[in-house]
Amino acid sequence: MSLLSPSSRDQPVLQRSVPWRADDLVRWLSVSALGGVGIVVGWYIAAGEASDSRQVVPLNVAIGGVVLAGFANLTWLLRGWHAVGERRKALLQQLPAAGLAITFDRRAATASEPHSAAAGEFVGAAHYFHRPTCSLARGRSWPPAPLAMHLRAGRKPCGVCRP
Amino acid sequence: MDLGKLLRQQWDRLAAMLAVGVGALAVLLGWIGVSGHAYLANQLPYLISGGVGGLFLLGVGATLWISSDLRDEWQKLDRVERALDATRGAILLQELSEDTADDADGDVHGDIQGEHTAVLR
Repeated sequence: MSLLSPSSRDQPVLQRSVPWRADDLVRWLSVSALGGVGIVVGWYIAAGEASDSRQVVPLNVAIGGVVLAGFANLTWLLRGWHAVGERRKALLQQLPAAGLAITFDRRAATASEPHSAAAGEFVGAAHYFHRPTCSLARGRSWPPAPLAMHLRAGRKPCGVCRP
Repeated sequence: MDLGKLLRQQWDRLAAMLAVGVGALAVLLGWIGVSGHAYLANQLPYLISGGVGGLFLLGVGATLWISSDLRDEWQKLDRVERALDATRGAILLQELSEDTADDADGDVHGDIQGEHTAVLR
């Protein structure tokens, strides 16, 4: 089946090609099939009975089948959502290591810049200038300077912090 | 788009649409069957096969559709992870080159920076 690769059963969450393991698929299919069988059996028995009082049990069997299948579907989807959420969380934790930061509020980002650099000042040497908070400027002794000065010196904006 | 390719790539969405279509049809046929009989004993088999069976198929269809969305999101995360790996490598190179530029005031930064900007794009 193309939904899951054959070796996905024992793979950790970050190395799978889909959010589910093979045993999740087996469980979903088998419990859904059991629910489907319950519906068919309920229908078959109910169709052979002439009295409605004798059809109550097969009706209950069919309803039980659809509830079982619904439970299987819900479990399958919850597993998928959980795996995707875990992976998203793991990727977000990798962002600082990659030199990238997520700032949802521009004012908050500006407020977190060091006081040694005034607003509108950037640091840099050689050919590029950076925001003072840029990971590439970390640990450097570059003095902060206004944007115009960096431009006059022929420096270009850094591609990481995009000042 | 090639039909064979579409079937291979989107088989779960097609199966979902099929299940939802058959489920809706089962519910409709069940309703027609129930409305055509006066006695409860004759109506219950239609209720089970059409109503309950249709509900089952609708559930399977919805699950398949949401599953394919989750699979797509998983593949997007694959791409994000690959891009992050590439960015991390480029940053290491850039830091190395900036150290060199700091020490010797050399001109190696530009190439690396350009390469890194290309990765980010």
